[in-house]
Amino acid sequence: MMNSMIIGKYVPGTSIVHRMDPRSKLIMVFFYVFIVFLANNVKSYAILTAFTFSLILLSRIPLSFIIRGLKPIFWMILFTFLLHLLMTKEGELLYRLGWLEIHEQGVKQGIFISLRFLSLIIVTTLLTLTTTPIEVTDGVESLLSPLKKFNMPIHELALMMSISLRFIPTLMEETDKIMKAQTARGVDFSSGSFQERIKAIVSLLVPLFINSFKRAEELATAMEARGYQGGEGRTKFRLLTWKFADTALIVLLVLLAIILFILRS
Amino acid sequence: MDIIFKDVEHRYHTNTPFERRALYNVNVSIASGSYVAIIGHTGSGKSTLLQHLNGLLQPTDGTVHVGDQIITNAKKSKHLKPLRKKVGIVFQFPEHQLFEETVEKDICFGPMNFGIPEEQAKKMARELLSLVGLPEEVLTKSPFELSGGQMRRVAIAGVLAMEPEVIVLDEPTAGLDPRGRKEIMEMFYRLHQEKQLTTILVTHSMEDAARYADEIIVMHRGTVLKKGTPKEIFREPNTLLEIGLDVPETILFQKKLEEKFGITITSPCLTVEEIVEETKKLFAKVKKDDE
Repeated sequence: MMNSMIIGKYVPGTSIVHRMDPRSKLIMVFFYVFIVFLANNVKSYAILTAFTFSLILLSRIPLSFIIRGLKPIFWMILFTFLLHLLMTKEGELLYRLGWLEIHEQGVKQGIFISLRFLSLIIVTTLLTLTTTPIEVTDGVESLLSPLKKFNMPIHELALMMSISLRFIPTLMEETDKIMKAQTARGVDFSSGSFQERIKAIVSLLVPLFINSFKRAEELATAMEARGYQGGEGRTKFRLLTWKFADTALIVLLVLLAIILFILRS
Repeated sequence: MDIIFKDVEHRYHTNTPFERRALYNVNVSIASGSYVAIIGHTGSGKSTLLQHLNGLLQPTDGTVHVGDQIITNAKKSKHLKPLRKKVGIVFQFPEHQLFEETVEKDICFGPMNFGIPEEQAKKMARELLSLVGLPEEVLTKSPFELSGGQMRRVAIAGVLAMEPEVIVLDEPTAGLDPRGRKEIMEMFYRLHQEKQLTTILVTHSMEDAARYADEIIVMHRGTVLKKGTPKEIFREPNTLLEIGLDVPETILFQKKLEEKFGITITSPCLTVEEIVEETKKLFAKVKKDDE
């Protein structure tokens, strides 16, 4: 299960999508979510799907890898498809079995909604597949920085985000260690009654929380010792550069929106 | 309970791009009632090896025999619980596994998981507390009120409370002060002698390995490089120094002494007492020659 989930995983690469500025990718994903809803007929959905598909090709991430990663969401898509297929009662009647009726519009709607769903998921997944978490954080900080004028703690938010991302592997490692220590003391994490399981989880969570608090305190001290005092006047180690490809992506996105707007019925 | 490793191999993350071989070709046996030290560099496979002892890890190839239990790749982890009662592991920084509201409850947690009645477990907690050198008042305290060293002792008591037949210690004294270190090591040694407890100690301290162990296993890059009595292992200090390990200070002293005086002392001196004895003999000889 954990191995097949690809949402949130980063796949190193050197494709044009990988090298793009995270800001352009974030803007693109943000507006794409709205643009997707412009499509409402065969032509506009064809264009939308083609656009999504070409993004996959550009990222050079194997299609089979993405398909494999979408497996966990497959059931959700199937469910929405069936829901639309059976609940839409418009257009020519194609098939009837007892109270089950399948109409022409139902098939159409089912396919459309599934495509919309897929496009959304694929594009958001592509963002995390081609952008390291740190890049995403930098991008978010840079995009939100105008809000600093309104006294919003943007730098602090970004710092929180990158610290949490940084400590995910550490926490996983620690979970593994504590689980092993408790297993050695006779805890069974994979079977047992409800009560036993609760007890097992407690024996894992308490040490995990205590260690996390301790670590947070140590981290704060270490940061202070190295002269950290907030975002004011800080320079960046990783500089974001807006390149031609980034402008091109945004232009393409605007074009896509215009075309979809014209084609929609 | 004799422990036998036969052609054991362990790979992490099999069938992924992250696959890594941590152990290979491990053939070693540990006799019931013996005290064995495992030494080796960080990443030499010591921790992986000891997690095989109670089935926390299962070999990807080969077999591990612990008493009459046989652990292989195919064994279901469900059937490993009886084994876990017999083999207690004190992990590195065991104080990280404390979680109960009181020290007493935490010590009783292990034995009660293995079906020992509460009364008996409580009685044991009391006895063990004095064994690890803590006053009885701490029983009702929260483990998180205690100092780091005291927490360590509580955690150790929690493992001993399971009354294991084999105790595995993964650097049990790391981060303790010299006195705490000595007390803990002496306590384990006493237990080993009094109850014939099979003891397996993973350590970076060559002095501890030399002082307490009947046999030493040297791990290097995922396999057993050497196994023998401390005297056999430290007889050739160069092999150990080459792979980045240390030898006891007394051995280094002996080496210097031999070089300076152009003599050879027949057996390697592992303790301060032994080297003092040898030096005394040497002085006596020099004095005699002078006369």
